[in-house]
Amino acid sequence: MIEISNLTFGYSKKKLLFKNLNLKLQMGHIYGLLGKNGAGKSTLLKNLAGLVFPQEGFCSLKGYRAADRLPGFLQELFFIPEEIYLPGTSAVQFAQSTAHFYPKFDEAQYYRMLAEFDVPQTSILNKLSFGQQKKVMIAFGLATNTTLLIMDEPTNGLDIPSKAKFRRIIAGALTEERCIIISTHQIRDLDSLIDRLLIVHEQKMVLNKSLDEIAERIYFGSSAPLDKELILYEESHRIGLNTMSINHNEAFSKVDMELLFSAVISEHKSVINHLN
Amino acid sequence: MNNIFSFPRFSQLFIKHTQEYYKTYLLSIGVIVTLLAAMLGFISYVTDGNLGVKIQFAIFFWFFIGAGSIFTSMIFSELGNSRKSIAMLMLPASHFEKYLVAWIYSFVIYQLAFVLSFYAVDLLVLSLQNSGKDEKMALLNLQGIETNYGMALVFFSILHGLTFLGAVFFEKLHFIKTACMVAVLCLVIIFINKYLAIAILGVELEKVVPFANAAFKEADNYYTLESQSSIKPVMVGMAYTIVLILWIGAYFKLKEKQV
Repeated sequence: MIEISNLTFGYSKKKLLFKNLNLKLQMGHIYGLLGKNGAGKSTLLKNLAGLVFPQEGFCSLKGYRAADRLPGFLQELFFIPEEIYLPGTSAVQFAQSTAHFYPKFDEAQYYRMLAEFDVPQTSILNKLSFGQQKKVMIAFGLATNTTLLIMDEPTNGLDIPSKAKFRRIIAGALTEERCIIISTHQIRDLDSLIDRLLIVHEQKMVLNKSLDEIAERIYFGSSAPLDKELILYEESHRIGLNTMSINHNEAFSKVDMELLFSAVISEHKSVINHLN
Repeated sequence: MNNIFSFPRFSQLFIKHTQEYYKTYLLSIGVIVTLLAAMLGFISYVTDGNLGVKIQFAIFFWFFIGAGSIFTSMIFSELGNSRKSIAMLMLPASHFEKYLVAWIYSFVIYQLAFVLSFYAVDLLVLSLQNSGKDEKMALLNLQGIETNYGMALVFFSILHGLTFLGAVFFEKLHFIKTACMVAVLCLVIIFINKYLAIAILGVELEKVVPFANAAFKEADNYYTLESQSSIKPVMVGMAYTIVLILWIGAYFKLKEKQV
């Protein structure tokens, strides 16, 4: 169980990023964390990892407080930041020197993912391109099999084929004993990958719903419904209209995360009210 | 699970640190050896082969504390880089184990490496300068009364404590910032010490050296006050107490480190 309880955090006391934020994350899910630039996505992830300390409240994982950064906590969590550091060793040497800190590390899985990402095992890591380094980090993070895997903008630096592989690998690595959080502003990279959506906006977690729940309540269409009163949000584009309307017929539609995110951050409270 | 110290985990961390940094450390030893060879060789040359024990000790002492301070101030340099500090802080080992690896490298291994390097260079320079001479110069004895290793160790330990704390405290330019902090601290101590000594002794003092001596003039007689030899162990004990406080401070600063 991962819990954020009454979290209040700000880099200065006058300007808070979060105020009394509460959140519980469940195992067996891939969470997509969205928010505007500066909304505090990375900071929230750093709070979860114990890299910054809250002014009030706490984050915990399996009973360990994140801010204590105890080994018992650290071996249950792997954090892949947006900007990564890898030493001047090969992928093999890196695993030999670091893997034993993670009791559930699966070496075969690590090498399999490296092969799938087309990363050479013997090249010196800090001489590889940024994208290649990121793939090594993702492969290593997944192979640690930690309870919580946090990824901040993991697809930055990945080419298009690698992004598709990334989605496939992540989906295959999810188990019932693990929770994955992915923060990104590239919403399309999370398509068909996440099953729960978190949106952080104006110091609060305004949305924490599964895509199924969202699809049950909101119908995403490319034309306006007959009954205009059902429309929650609409956005016009060059060849038509994208709409979000109340799903009173329980019709199936694919959640348009980009449209939903636009609706939430453009102060359309009706969308949030309807979902919550 | 022991969340403070586990020997297997510490060993793994020590090996990992060594694997990742051994090239840098070997290069540092190479630089020290080169500088020592240049300095000892130059002095031997200009003094026409009179590289005495006192000169050897002076070079040993200043290089020992100088190189040690620079090396220690960089031991936590990864904390000044957000990418590296995340990798370091997120590694599943306790703060104490991470601290201990840095302490062992900067305090224990550094001393071993420096003393061995110094003697290797010193032996070579002395053997070159003594060849073909009747009067041979003696090799530095670190057990001598005026060339005692214990004295150098006290100074090195104090500077190690200060630079170790500075290495965690400052995020960039660790050595320069710590050196500035130490300079300001020394000035404050000299200033307070002078007025405190005048207040205690009730005479105008000619010279006051903190923790060492005070000199004054009275009726054309010049007096120097020095601590009794029996008090010296107390002063050494006080110095090591300060060092211990600085080391503890560095540990808690590491625990509180945020990225």
